[in-house]
Amino acid sequence: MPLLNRLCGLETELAILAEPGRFSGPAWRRTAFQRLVGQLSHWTPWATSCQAKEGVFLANGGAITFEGERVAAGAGLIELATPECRGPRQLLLYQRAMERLVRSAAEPLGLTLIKNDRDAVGAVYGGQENYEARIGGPVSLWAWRLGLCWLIPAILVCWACVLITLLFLLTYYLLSGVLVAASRLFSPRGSAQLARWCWGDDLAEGLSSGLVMPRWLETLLVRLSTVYTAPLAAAIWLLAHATLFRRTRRLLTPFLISRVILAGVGMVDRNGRFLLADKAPAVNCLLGFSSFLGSRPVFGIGHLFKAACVESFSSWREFTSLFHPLQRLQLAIGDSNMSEPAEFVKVGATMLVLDAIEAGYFDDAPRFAAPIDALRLYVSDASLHAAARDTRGRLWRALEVQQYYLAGCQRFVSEQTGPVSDEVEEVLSAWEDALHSLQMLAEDSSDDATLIGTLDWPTKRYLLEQVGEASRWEVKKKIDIRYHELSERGYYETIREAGLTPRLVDDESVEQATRWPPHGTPAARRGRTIREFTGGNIRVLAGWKQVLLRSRNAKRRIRLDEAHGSVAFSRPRVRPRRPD
Amino acid sequence: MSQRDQTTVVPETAVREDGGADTASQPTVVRPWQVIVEEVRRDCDRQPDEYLEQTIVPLGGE
Repeated sequence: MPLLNRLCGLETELAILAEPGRFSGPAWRRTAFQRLVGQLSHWTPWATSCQAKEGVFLANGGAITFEGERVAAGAGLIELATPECRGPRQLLLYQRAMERLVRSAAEPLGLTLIKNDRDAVGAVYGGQENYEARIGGPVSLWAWRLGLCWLIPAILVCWACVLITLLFLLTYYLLSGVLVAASRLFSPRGSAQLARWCWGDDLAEGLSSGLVMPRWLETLLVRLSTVYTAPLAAAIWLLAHATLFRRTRRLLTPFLISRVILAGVGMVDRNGRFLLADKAPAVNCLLGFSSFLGSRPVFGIGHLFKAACVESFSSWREFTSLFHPLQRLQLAIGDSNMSEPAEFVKVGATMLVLDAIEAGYFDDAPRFAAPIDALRLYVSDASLHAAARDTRGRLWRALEVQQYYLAGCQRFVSEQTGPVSDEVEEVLSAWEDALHSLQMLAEDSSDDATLIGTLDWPTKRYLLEQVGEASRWEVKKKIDIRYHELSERGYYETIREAGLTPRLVDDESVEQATRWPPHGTPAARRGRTIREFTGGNIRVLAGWKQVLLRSRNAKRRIRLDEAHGSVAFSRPRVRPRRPD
Repeated sequence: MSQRDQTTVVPETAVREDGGADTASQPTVVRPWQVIVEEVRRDCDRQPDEYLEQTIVPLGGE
């Protein structure tokens, strides 16, 4: 397989800031999201998502969804997902395109979106990287498949619990309806309050504020679902830990832990200390479900749980797709970069290291005795001198670990027998330049000229230094957060507009990417189907693996994971529905 | 002298020293980092507590 050619994608959660007075009520974020989706129609065709999350898929193949597990409690983030891409430059292009689209839709509504990873009180969200990768050798693959079969009873139990919960809800709403009707006979005012308490604002008052149920019921359901899915989650974790990407995870971990010096966005912690990365300080395990039961992992497996337990409920193929030898390797450790060079190096270097690992390289990679401790050590050391111990007793600085992987990738590329693309050379060159600049900084702490405007954490640190060490924590934290605003007031956007940071993708290409999907990926077929059928008499429902076309008399399911959309797109035949 | 302190010749779309967008056809000599730093200094002092409060994500999570 050519280098840098695996499928890849970025998911980015954005915090929402509204102009005062524009939105109100506890569920205002969901209302804001729905209006934002309405605005998107001015820019691009879209189709409603058929995935579990509320949202839409766009004609460029990407998705914009609402991340709102606790809407009644006021939670909610907007999540951008790029279409599946091949290569770091294409991914960077589509990430910028998604940001441009959502920013264009948000501004007329008085909304500002913030592409960061944690708020001022420490709630962690942010970005995730996804790379298609091989599960492992034949033994791991068959162990994984066998384990999946053993999970089926646990999945069925989960579904049974969901059905019981739905029955409980139905019974609850029927009984509460009787109670509210009875109370109207005695006290109309009291009955309105009772209805709000029982049902939430929307059902009680005929609103569409997003409060589809009261807060207490939402809390109860979330806790209940955590309890009944916990055994399945534990089983998936054990199976993934024992079989999934074992070698890849082991050899990639030191690279990811030290990658914070390249791709960290920097942050001011509660004590006013400057740390190199925003999300990494919250990481507490290597493998986990991302926030489920409090885990903040390096490698996320939440998507496996969704496929096995949630998405397989609507289509069994979602479950059988987990048997494929290529699966999504999800990295939850990375920050949401503002800088294009940082994002390019982050994705490009990771893809090259993955290519090399799958080709049999890096078996002698350092193995940290305590990887999470090593991560915290590197993140808290802007001098770049901190060293973590590997299992052989050798001390490694983050720079040395990165130089080890760079040298390995250079050797791997030089040993390729076939032609190597220019993009591979660009990644190696950008990676080497960044490490050289960081080396200069490690030798002389004032030598950061080439890093400011290029990598995120040195740029943010420079801005923080300009307001002085004695500034209030709130002032520093405002710089920390406003650096990430996707608006003309955002500090990084200001720097970018001033031409003080290298641009790797031009405006015209970004504009194209807001409308057209990348070639040779499932996104191509998804995007073209959405463009062709949206707006007519056919209802289009889109997902990552399929697009559903439904009209009054016909329905059609288009699978996107067959041939990865590389076959020429042809207008799908809409099969007539059988008469009832 | 580091790059950020240097006087730089920037094209017409860059930020002027007064903070506005320069639309002149000729390149203009400005000290862009200084302009941006001044903007940041002015802005970050404006109601930082309120800004932080507004940007809190209740129970945010992946």
